[in-house]
Amino acid sequence: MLILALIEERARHGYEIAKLIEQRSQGVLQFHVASLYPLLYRLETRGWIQGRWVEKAGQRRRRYYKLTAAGRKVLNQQRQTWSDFISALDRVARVNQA
Amino acid sequence: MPDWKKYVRDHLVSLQLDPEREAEMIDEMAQHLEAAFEEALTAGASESEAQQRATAHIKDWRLLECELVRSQQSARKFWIRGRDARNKSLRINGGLLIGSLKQDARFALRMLIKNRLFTAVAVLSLAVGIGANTAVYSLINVLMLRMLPVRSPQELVLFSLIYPERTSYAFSYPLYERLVRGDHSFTGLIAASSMSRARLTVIENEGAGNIESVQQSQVSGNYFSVLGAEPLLGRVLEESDNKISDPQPVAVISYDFWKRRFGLDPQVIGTKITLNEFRFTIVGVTQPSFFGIEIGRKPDIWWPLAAVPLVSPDNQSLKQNTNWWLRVIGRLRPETEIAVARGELDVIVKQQVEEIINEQPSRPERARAFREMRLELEPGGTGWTTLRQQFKQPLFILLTVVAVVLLTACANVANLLLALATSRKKEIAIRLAMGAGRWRIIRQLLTESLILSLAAGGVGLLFAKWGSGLLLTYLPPSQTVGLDLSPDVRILALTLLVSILTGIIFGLAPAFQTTKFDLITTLKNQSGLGAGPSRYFLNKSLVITQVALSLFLLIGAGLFVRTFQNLKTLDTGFTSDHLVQFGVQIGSGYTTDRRVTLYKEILARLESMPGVQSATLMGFGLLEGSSVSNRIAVPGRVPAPDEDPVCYVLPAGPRFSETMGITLLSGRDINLQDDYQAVVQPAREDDKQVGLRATQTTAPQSALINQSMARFFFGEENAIGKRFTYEGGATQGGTFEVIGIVRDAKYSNLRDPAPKTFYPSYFRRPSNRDQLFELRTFGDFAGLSESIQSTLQQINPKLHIVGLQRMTNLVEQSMTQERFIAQIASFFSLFALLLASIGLYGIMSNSVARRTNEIGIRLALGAQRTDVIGMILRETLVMVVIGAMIGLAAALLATRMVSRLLYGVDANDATTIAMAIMTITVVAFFAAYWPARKASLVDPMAALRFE
Repeated sequence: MLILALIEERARHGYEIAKLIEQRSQGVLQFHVASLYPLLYRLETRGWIQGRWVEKAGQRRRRYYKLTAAGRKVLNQQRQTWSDFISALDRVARVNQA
Repeated sequence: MPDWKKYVRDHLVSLQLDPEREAEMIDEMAQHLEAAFEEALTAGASESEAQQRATAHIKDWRLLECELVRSQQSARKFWIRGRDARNKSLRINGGLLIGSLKQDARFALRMLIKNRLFTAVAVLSLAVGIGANTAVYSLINVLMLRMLPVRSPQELVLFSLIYPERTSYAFSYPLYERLVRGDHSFTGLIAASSMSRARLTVIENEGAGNIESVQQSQVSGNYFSVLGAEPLLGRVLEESDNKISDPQPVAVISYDFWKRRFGLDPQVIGTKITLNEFRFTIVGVTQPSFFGIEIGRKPDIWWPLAAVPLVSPDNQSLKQNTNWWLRVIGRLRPETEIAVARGELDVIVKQQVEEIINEQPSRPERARAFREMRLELEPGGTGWTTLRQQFKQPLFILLTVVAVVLLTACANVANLLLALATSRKKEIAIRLAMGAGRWRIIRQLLTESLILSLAAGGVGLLFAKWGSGLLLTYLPPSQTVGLDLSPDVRILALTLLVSILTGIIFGLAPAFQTTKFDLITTLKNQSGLGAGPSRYFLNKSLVITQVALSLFLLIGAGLFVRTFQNLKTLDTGFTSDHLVQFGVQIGSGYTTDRRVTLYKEILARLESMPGVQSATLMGFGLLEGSSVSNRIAVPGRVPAPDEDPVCYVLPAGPRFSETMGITLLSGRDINLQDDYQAVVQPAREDDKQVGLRATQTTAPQSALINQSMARFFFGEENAIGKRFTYEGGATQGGTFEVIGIVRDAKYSNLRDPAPKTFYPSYFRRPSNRDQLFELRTFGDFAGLSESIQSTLQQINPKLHIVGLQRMTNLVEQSMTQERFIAQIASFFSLFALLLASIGLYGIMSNSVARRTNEIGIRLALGAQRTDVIGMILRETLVMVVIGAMIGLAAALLATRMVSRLLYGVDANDATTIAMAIMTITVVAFFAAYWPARKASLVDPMAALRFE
């Protein structure tokens, strides 16, 4: 879900995704190469994201991933599931109280 | 800056993914590291620090590899489908399958090489089984299945006549002509005489060349055109050559003869030759592959039927409607039903039959047989041979035998595989534990069995080549000329099929059995010998099967061996040692008187040869299947109402009883004075064929009669000097006087008891047939044929000896079938027995090894060594008894079907069965004794420590 959410705004490349996760989670979540790329490939295989080589002026060729229509659907479903889950936890354990 | 791509590539072993995709991945990850590296530099780190930080991003390369591969596993298919439709995906999947098959095969080969002894025993026993099957099938193929090398052989139809008791493939010329005239279903009907010998000389510059004995066949004018045989040189025979009114003395020769006699000289066309002193002109040479319609015979020369009277003016065979000497084959018109053709032509046969009956009113029993006769048509594309009738059943029996042998071999190898599997149990358990599917392992094991069986098939083909050659030696050499036994596509396909089936049969059960066990137990069991009861059961049932199959074969072989021995030790009534038989070609142009004089001279010269005891001549040979019989009447004797007064006839020359060694009981032998008396009136056609001549003189002909005949007609009275009439010739005064009584002797074959027979004094009417002589010598001596030939030459250079044979050989030959089955069945039953004993030994050794512990405890608790031996032997005995019961039941069912082929022994002969059971029990005892002894020598302490 994290990855799907990150590339929802715009297409990003692998390193950027790893960086963003680390930054936005303030270092709590870290994706290593060993888990990040296989995950990306698997998502790609499932048809949720799509990778494309893009060359920009002055930069090297990079592979950018963007969300596909199927991926968007899955993301929305997962968001829904998570928010349901969180609110359920909240109701039970008052996690969000603080 | 480091080369990150190289860094990644060096650290990842090949992922074996699509190379393009793999390169992309590496590229992407390299970029990741590079980005991290650059970021670190920007943050002010030194180059080495930056490098360290970047490399920290990938710590566990092996994990990465696994993850990458797994991420792509389901992708492979998607990826390819997306790009390139279905076929490529199939190819990749096929490639994977073939790849793993190759892997299986490689592994299997390693396993087989590792277990060399096992492999050798398995391959050899299977090879014998497969080879035997292939060999027998090769012979069946050649004799019964292979098509003639002519145009569209499948259109050919073979004619036969069905009599109440037998099927005959012989037709008379008048009947053939009639069929041709009345036929609308065939594009052509051809007739051909069976092959016979003729003296051939080549006339070079009007002089006579060397005399050579050649094989000839007289054929109808359309013979070659209907068969579709093109000449290699010159022309073939044509209808116009075969006009009865104007026969042409032309001949076509075979390629082989052209090569042998004329050295492939193209000038051969137009060459003048003589056949039995009559001039022919060679008009053509056949293709090398052509041999006519009879399998196993290769005529040298073909000439028109219509020319028969030219060559032998007194030969009436074209006119006689009871002279059955032609093979008839037709080429069916397209869209014509064989049944329609049969209906159409059967009417013609019936008409002919009525005519024959009307011509011969005196023979009611023949009329009955004739009336029941009908025409039969069968597919003729495979040609014709007497061997087919003669060896159909023996070959079928043999096929059963070799199939059973193959099954025994399969059971044996299955057993060996099971034993081997015990030692591989650990290996298989580990593979299963590591996640190999059961099916995957079964496939691996089956691959091993298939490789085994295919190897055996290959070796088997070699055995088959040798074996079919050996089988061929059992057939009469004169009838197997040019038989090509080299394996054709059909044989190769069969061998392959049998091999694969074999592999599956013996591989399947062990494969399933081996992979079916409790993993944990097996892995825990250090000895690796823990076997479930069901594996033991399978093992045992395999041995029981082997015992049953071997007993089945042993009983069958035993019956045939006894049959053969019975025939061999049979009293033929004559003495075949030092007795030789040969024909003399006389040539044409002799009157009856001159011929008789000639015979007498030949006999006198032969008897004066050194080493010769006596000589005689006969109408036809004994034990050759020929027979002539008719009713006998004794003047003044009232026949009993239901008696059978038919007696058999064999015209015989002077000193017959002495030469043949048929004991003279009373009276005297035939001598030179019992000779030819002036023929006043020609004999009937049938009588002429056997050389009987009827005279109008009232003086009876002398005849020897055998015991059976004497007892039948004259009882206790002295038969010497009594007279009897031969019914067929009664109207013409065929009266005979008994001059002597001889012991019963076999007549047309060995199996039938000696019939009532009489041997009239005989000097044959002139004919162009070879005259048969018998010679008793004082010992065997070499060069007899040459000495006889030179003796004959002294009388007349035209005389020629043909077909010299020892009587012992002839007797042997008449037992060919029996010897064939007896020897081969014994060989294979012993082979099966050997396999069964290997199986028994194997399973008992295994069982002893498995139970070392148990046996140790028994011994420790005070069991005697003999008790242990007894225990093991008892276990064996149980298996043998069960197997024997099954085998016996099967044998009793099967032998009933072959009882016709047995002689002097009942199909359920108790002695044979008892011997077979005893043999198998004794062999089983020895096979089990060694393991039992080994068991009894177990050291209790060692056995207990064993666990």
